[in-house]
Amino acid sequence: MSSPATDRSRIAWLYRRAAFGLAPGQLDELAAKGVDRALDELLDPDGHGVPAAPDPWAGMDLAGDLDGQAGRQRARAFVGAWIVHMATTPRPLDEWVRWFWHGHFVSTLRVVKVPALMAEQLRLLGRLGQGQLAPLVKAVTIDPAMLIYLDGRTNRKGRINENYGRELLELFTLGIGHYTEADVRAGAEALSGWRIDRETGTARFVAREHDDTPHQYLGVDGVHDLDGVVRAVTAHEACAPFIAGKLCRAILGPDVDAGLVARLAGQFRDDGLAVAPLLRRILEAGLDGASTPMVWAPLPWFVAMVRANGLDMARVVGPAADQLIAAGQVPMDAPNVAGWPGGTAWLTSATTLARATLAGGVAGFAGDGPVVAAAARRDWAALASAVGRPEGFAPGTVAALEGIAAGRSSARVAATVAMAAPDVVVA
Amino acid sequence: MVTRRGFLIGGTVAAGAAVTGLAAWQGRVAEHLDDALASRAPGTDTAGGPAGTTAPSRTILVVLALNGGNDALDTLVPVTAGRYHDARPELGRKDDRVVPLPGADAFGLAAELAPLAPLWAARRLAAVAGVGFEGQSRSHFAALDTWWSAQPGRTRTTGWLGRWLDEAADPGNPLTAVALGANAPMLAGARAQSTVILDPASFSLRAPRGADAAQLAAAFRATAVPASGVDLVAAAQSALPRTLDAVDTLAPALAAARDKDGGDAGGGAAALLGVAARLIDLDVGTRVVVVAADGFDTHSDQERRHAALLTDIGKGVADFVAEIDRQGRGDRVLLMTTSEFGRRVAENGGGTDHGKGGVELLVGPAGGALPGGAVTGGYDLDHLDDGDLPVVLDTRSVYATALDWLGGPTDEILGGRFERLGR
Repeated sequence: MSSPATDRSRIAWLYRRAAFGLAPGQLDELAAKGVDRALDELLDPDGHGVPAAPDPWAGMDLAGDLDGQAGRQRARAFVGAWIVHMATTPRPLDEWVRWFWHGHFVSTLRVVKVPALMAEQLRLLGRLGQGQLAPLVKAVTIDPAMLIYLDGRTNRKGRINENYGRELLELFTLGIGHYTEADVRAGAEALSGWRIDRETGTARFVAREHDDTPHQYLGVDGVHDLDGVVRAVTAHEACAPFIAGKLCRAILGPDVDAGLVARLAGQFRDDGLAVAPLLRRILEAGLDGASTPMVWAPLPWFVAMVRANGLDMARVVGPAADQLIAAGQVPMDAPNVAGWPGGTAWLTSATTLARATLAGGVAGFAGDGPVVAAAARRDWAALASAVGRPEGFAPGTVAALEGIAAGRSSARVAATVAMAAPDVVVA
Repeated sequence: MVTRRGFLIGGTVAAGAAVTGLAAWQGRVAEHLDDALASRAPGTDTAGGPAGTTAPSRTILVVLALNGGNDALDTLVPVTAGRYHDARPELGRKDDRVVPLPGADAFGLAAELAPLAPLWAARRLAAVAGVGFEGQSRSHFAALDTWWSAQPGRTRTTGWLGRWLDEAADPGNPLTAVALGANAPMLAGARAQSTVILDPASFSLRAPRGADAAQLAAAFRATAVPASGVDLVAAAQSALPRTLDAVDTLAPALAAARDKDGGDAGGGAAALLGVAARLIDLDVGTRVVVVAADGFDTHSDQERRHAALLTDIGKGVADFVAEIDRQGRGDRVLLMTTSEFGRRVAENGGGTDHGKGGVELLVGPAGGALPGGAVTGGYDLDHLDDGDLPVVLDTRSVYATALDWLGGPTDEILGGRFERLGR
């Protein structure tokens, strides 16, 4: 369908935007199969004999509080296990979609405080994240971690707490401007009465704490419960464009063509808000040239660089933790319910510096891996390809690499610069 | 609107500011915008501020952003108001949980803010109550957009302090404005670049094992030219040298903060305010520092959570002021709090939902522009706006006072003339 060189760029794009980067040698393997096959394997791993992904927290003790030094270690191990999983899963697109939904239906470990409940929420996002939107929204609404994060568990008849009801409309399904304050209130009342069972850690409906008064909600009469709320929000005309637009921008970049987004949103609505077909259409559009420049978010970038160097993430993630905090993107620790702001917020001095330091850390761990080896040979084309840019570096980056005087540590310096180069960070 | 004056709580309320602030919404903005534009010839350098501005040279503004929507009523407490206690049967503060504010008998300061009481007595602490924007949103994000941009109803373009940086600051110095603890969109300018430090403890470039840090920094700087034709790539290119410059300059201040705080300077707002004080002491041309304090979205468990937050703020601000005074800069630093909205008057059973009118605290030198030791605006508990404190004073009146402090051009930045506090 196109030249092999172009195929390599397109496959690298696919794995940069909707997976967690490429391991050494993987680009050659995939290019041999072709772009179409590479896309199909990502989208339909079952149909291509790809092994199932293990649970990121399998065998991990998720009990215990997060207080004190020991608690902090537990939190880091728990979050680290997910980052390790991102780097090792045989099904990276599935993981990327879970990561996308985590940045959308936000909860934080800082607030939830119970790793077992955060793990359940993330399992839910993995299980339902590529199906239809309505079951996903319903499950998230009464997910115990979410009931904690946005106070649903304290939302009781006579003591209505609007927190979740508002963010459901503003951030999760419709966007601002498509609902009234009365809708916020009505939704909160209809969602009252959901508690967390202390024994089982699951959601439990307590009828006497539920305000069953029927309300007009988003123009629908008689809404009084969870099912009614989910039906009303997912039937609202703003829902498909809101969700499709967010997924489009996450993959195709912030400047994606508005007409394309509108078309994809219409198809998404016609598909009954099924996420998997939307995902396929977005990726196909991107491979066909609809992609726009985008700042690579620090965490997926970091995972990709660790993979590119052939490193064992389990060995790297602990030492990297402080710098991931400094970069501003630690899973389960979004700054607020809107998730990570993205875009040029990832070009601040804080993130720029942490990224440069993380690149140096990876280069330091990398020994004679493929990135450092290419840097040692001063083979800039191979170096660019190794860090996921088979089309080659921009002139400024090449000049900077050329300017590094040969010496004992010059390969590591060049590898560091390559990983955090402006044209790698923004691509 | 004038009738509202009688309902405002408080003996020393400067209701005039509230009334004129509201008037500004009702048509005066456009008129004054025309004046502001007419008075400035194209290309005129306004770096020194408009004629007649008497701000001392090299003033500094510190903005303490209370993110999440700080509960005004649980900060500046209307202790004598029956309606307050009716609406807050569990969370309402009685006399034993407030510090009296001499001269403002209707109010008390939350007890956790007691370290600030001496500043009130010295007329260095001012409170602005019922503050917000017309049509104040209950959405965090819509409200923040308006508070950051000070351009209600417009899609966010630049921040109110970003426009000041564009107009009046040294564009070559990325340390003119520094955000500590979180990114600060209020600093976003059309051209101006600021420095963001999320975690002061790790704001340095570390080279890989065995590698030469100077060689690495030089190579990173070299990637910046030639600038890409793709705007976003060019932005990433310029971020590298700007960041490395900031690191070189700030290293001593951050090291000092680390030493004092035992390596834990990345903690709460008090620790970040400590970093801000050291940054100011470095004297590297910093004029604006924005400090992030998170966690004010107290929908639940408010009594415990808000008390802990205010304890951190009270100690942090008091220590900050003491340090600034020790530096001999007490007459050059103005600190103000912001928050995207106040919270609902009625408690929800353990917490409070999003509301409208809020409170801002300002600390600066006594005399001058700061109405210290007084409450400006007020809480109109008899005329709630859908259950919220009504906005009686435009946030831009506070911003105008702060921008005057920095030397302006205030009216141009705000797109109109807003009544200053205390006049």
